Amino acid sequence: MRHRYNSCVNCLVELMSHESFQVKELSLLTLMKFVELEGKYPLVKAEWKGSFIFPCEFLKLVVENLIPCEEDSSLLISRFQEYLEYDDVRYFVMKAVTENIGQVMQKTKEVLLPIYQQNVFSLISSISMPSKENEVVHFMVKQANQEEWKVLKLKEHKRAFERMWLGFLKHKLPTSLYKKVLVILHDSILPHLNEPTLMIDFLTVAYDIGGAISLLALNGLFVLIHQHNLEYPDFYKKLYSLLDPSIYHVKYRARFFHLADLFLSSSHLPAYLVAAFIKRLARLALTAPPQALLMVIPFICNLFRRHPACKVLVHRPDGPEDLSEDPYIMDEEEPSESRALESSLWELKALQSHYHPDVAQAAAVVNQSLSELEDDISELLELSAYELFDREIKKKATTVPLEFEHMKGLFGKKNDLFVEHFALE
Amino acid sequence: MIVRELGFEMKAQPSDRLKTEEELAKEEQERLQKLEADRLHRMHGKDEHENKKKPKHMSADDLADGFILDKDDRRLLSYKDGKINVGNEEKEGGNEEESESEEESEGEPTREDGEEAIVEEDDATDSPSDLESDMGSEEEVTADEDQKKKHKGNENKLQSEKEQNAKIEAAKSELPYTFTVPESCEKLKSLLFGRIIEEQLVILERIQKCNHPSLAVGNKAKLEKLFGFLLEYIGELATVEPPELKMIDKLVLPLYSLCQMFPEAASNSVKFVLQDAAHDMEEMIEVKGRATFPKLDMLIYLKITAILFPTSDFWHPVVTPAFVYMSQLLTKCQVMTLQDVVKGLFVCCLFLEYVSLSQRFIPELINFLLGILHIAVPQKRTQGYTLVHPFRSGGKNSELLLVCDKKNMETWQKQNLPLSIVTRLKESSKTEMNHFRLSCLAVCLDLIKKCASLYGSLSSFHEIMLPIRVLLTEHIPVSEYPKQLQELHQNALKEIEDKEKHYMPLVCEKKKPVPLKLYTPKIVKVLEFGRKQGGSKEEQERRRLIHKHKREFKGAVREIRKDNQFLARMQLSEIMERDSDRKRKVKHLFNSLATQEGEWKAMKRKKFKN
Repeated sequence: MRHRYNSCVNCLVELMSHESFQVKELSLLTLMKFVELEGKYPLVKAEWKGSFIFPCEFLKLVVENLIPCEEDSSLLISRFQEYLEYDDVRYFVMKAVTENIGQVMQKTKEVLLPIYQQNVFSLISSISMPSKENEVVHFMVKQANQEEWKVLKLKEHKRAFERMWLGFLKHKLPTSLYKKVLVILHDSILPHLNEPTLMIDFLTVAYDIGGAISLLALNGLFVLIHQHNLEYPDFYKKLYSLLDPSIYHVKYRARFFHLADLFLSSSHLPAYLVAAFIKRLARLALTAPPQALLMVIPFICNLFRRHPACKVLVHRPDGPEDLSEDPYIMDEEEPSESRALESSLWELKALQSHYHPDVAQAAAVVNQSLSELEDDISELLELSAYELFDREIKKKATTVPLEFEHMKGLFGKKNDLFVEHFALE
Repeated sequence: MIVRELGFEMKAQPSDRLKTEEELAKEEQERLQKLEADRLHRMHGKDEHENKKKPKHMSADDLADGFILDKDDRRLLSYKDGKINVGNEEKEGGNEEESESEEESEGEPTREDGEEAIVEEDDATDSPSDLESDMGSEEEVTADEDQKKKHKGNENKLQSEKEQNAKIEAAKSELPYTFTVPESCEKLKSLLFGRIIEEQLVILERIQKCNHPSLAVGNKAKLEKLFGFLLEYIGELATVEPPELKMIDKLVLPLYSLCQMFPEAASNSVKFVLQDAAHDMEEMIEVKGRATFPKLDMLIYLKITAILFPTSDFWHPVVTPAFVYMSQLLTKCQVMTLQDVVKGLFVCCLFLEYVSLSQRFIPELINFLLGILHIAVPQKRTQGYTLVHPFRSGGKNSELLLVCDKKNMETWQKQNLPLSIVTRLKESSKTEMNHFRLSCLAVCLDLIKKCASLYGSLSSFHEIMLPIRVLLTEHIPVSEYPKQLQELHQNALKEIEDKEKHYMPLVCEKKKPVPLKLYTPKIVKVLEFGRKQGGSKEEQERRRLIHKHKREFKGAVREIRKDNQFLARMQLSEIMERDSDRKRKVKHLFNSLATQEGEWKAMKRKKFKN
């Protein structure tokens, strides 16, 4: 009988890699039903009283097939999610995943397995941890004497969770996966770890990669620095080197500037550092789209308000008359060497003739001495190009001025540029 | 003397009153209606019979042999200055001429309709009327020839009948003179469908004239709608295969005049089009994650915006949204094909045209031109410059404009980019494609030069241009390019490098000192002295009562005081009287006592003596 049962289980496990999703789904459901029943009516009698019975090996088998190396199984995983609601199943799944990652990765020796890692990620990112001890009450298999069972302890859960994530992040990840992990890191991973500082290795690696990944890693680092007293050497230098033209164009612009605002809000920062940041932001703003400019100009103004020593950048009454070069060195990686304090914000001056009326007005603020109150940029952070367009088009005008110069055709205005380059053919 | 002479000099004569717009419009309409009636008349073939009944001029050489001249050949001589002299044959043979000459004269009154400056009017009048008169004279020539032929065959009656039939046909196909305003875009299309450009223009002009807002109440709304339909029609012309660009080129004229008449409605229509386009793009970004360049019609609309509205305004209800939209085009749309490059360059051109007067700074423009240059560079080492979205340093489209074939380089000649290429790239040979690439590059270089001259005065000009400069000097394989392109490259680079480097340290404007608050006394004018001012009747009454009360009170106090004084005085005198009485009595008593004492002492002394 047991033999038959085992071969049935084996068949079902094989079916989990069937082509048809329905077959996969059904076999998964059946297997989980077996898991539940086996938990209730154990095959092996408990050896001594008070031991806890859960078909761990069986579950491990299921998990193994849930995260195959060859094909994407995200659909199946989302079906599996309902079982992760059970605290005991979750606990043992986490353990099984940790073990599985170790085995698979050891076999392949640090070679990227995008599909496998993607599968693992979709499985483990769907694990939602309980936040309080007394929430751990939901079990698939009821145990007789519950008090001493490990699964009952939140701490044990956290430890398993931590081990699983660390095991997963220990290995090299594909770029897209990096981004996904970093996006959810500070929200759904860090709070559930026993020792969040263990994440520092992963974050440091991510921070050094550059580009969008660095921007995202910033958020996790911030949580560690802020709540767990982490010391990060040369943090501002790294932050400074993160500033490149793409920061105004990437999707995570709002997140980055929100954090940058926090980092630069400290009044203990030296003036040269803040000035370097200001100058670099302004220089990069020369390539920014209007929605980003509307955000960064008040941002710079706020920096001036917090650090009045930097105001020489916009007001240098007794400076040299005429310079042949901008003293600021853009390529210098060390903020202290960039000579930002000797420079002036000519960039904002140039932006005063920006085509967008709001930007031009915002940039004109530096002409006067700044008011004391800081601007609130939180609303401007998320401003998108489409919103900007919408705002413009909804403005009501009393009169509509008209072009008075008459033309003789589509390209028929005086000195029309198009005549030189395009033909109406 | 001189003064007297002056007195005799001609004084300025009052000129004829200028006709008002309404009168002109009315006349115009009446004229058109009359012409329309005539035309209908002729269409039914009535006029010729009537004409025939009229007595004809008989030649002295008439042989009276029963030979009937149905065409009078002398009218060949009656042409003057390319027009037929008035005569009874005019209507017979000169259908075309008549209508054309009418059209000629139409040109001027219409243009006066618009309230424009005189300068514009000059411009305005010459374009359409020139066109029509040209056409008119051409047709006259053909008519002329026709008539010569007729003259030859004037013996043949049968043939003349045929001619007559042909004329009826011609009149049928001729344009009607009055039109109602089409109520939908479809109706407008059916109205204009199949006509040549000139006819379409005439139709639109007549619609405008027959339905001038001053003629009927609803006309304004109708014509306002017409703008939207016309805009839609133009959009459709731009999307057909191949795009009817020549037609659009001409249709812009009525669009302009309509816009001059109804600025608000026109701006709303254009805004609506823009909003639609921006919404579509946003949707595409949400669904697909990236946007593609719009079709040709949108590019044409943007160009039309520049024609209709002044682009140099600081803020303009139509132009500013157009700016934002174009900025989105250059930052969000992927450059995947050569068509995209052309569209992008077109938008760059638009941007430059928009700011040609105002000289405003457009970061997106510089970024895009940098990206275009980048995709023309063979070796991808992005050193010294950084690309921004939508361009990336690597990837499959990163060598879109790269030309390697040396032969193609040599045979290239700069040509204007035909816009029809935007809708489809002709199945062209590799050579043509390469030539096309080089043309794009030439446009890009020229635009860079224009940018450089435009932004030369900006304070951080060199920082703005730095990436482009690095690309131009270090990465672009100039030596391999044809001469013309090398020249362009040189010009652009020179324009950038020639600008002087001036960095004046910034100084804030001096804050005006806040003036101290001055408390000037509040001056109330007193109009009548001695009388209390202002207040309502009750107030006055109250004040009067208070005043009265005060006075009474004072009087009473005074009375009381007087009484008291009187009383005190009386009491005092009484007391004094009583006092003096008492003193007198006391004295009397003392006196009597003293005499008694004296008597007693005298008696005592007497006793002692005794």
